[in-house]
Amino acid sequence: MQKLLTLLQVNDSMFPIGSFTHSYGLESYVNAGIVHDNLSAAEYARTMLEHNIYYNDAAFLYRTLSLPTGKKRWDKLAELDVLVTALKASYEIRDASKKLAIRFLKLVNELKIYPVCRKYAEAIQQGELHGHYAIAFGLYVKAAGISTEEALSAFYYNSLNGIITNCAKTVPISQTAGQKILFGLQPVIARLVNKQKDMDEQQLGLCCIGQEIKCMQHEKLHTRIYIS
Amino acid sequence: MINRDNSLTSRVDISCKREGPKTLLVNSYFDIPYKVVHYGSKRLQDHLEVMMMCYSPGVMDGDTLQVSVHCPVNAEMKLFTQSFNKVHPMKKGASQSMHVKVDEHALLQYLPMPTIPFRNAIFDMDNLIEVAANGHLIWGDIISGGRIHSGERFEFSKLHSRTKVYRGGKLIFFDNQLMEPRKQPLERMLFFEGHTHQGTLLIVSEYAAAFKEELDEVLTEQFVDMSYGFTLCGKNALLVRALGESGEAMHEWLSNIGDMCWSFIQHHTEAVAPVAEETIAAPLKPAPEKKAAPVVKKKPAKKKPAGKTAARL
Repeated sequence: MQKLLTLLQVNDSMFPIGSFTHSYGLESYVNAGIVHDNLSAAEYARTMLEHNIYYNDAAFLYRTLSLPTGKKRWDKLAELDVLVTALKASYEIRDASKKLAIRFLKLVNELKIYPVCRKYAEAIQQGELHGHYAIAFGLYVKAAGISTEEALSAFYYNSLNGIITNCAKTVPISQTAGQKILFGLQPVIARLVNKQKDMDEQQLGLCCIGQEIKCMQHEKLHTRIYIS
Repeated sequence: MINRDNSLTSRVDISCKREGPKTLLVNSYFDIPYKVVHYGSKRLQDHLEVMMMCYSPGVMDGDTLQVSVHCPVNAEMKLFTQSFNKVHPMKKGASQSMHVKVDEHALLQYLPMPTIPFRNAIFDMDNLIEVAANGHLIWGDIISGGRIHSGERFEFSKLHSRTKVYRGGKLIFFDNQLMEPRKQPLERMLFFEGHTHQGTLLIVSEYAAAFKEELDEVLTEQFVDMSYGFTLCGKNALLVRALGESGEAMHEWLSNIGDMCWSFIQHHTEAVAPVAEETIAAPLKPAPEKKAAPVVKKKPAKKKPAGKTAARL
């Protein structure tokens, strides 16, 4: 029970780490008129889950959850942090990941202290590591004893929830339509969680070229309500 | 080397050295069907311009190509390819790997012609690039969706391209692109979005951020037939990506930016560390001066993108 409540709390979209200030390129899609109605919002959400999040943030989270214990752990974590930084090419996306990581760690370190989370926070602060949200989240939920499956499901759910909330605000689509997309994509999340462990090592960090360009274009949008 | 099944295992090595103001080609090696030649007259400029040519119709099933390029201390080289990299229909697949080294104060530009995967092509590209902390790299690649004008649109089987870039020994950029038209909605949202070609230009240099400021001034509008973006993909790395309809147009556009960057870097390095006439390598001398160099050219004015301080929702 305690574990479930912890997961619900730290994975809540209202957990005050500022995740609602990022659209991860969606704002550029709306601006370009590509995401403009229920159908295109649903397509965007589904493609993001299947082709972006699965190979990127969810995969980074899975890697964090699978870190070895013992001496090698920190070296592997540092290696992962460098790899994720190299993969997140778009400046705003990389920076978003860092900002969320810092705020997340600051906050959870006030709730319950786990040495590894504290060490990661310090390494980011001192500039030794870049800092990434998926890694920070993974370190905390693993330390809190939450299972890999639940952590992954929650992470996918919250990523999708963020997309839907942003669609409702910017496209806009109705709240009901948004919830329908969210509900309809539950089987997709279940499938992705199930096959996360089978992901080919060579596919870690696959790039969606169009999405990455939209994230870069966001730096130049004339009016912006999101940071990324 | 021709294998029993008629496929080719080839190797190409390209290396150069700096002698006085000039960079000269040394130790070049090539197997069939490749050839490395000077691009035009070698007297026209101080830097080295070489071209990699392929006198076969293209990449066939089972072919493997290994390319190594080395740009030692202070050397300046532009490497070209002569023709489009045509990847023919196949069952097993072909591969190409490149290992590139750019040493201290060296400058390398490589913008190959587009890769065209034909129907049922299976192609694996692996690039490992090591740039010294004070080295400069301008690197491009263009991939098309097939022989578009022959009606072949995203009919290849699989194309996987991985580019890892290390700067001063640290991984700073990793581009992992997998295209499997039968498994991904490649023509849809998030991927090609209706376009047929994708292009990438990567600049790794201590002047990358300063050069981005130049691009901020120049690239202010989107094109009708091309969608592009650029970003600092690392502290000393700039990435330009584009989606468009023409491989040639994209190659020309990226080459223009690459050439602009080449001049930009040369302008700075010449102002900072003029290479002594007869020394081949004097890394100790220019290094300390370099740090004191002004990074920004004449106009420091940089317009912040509108709405940088985004309002919170």
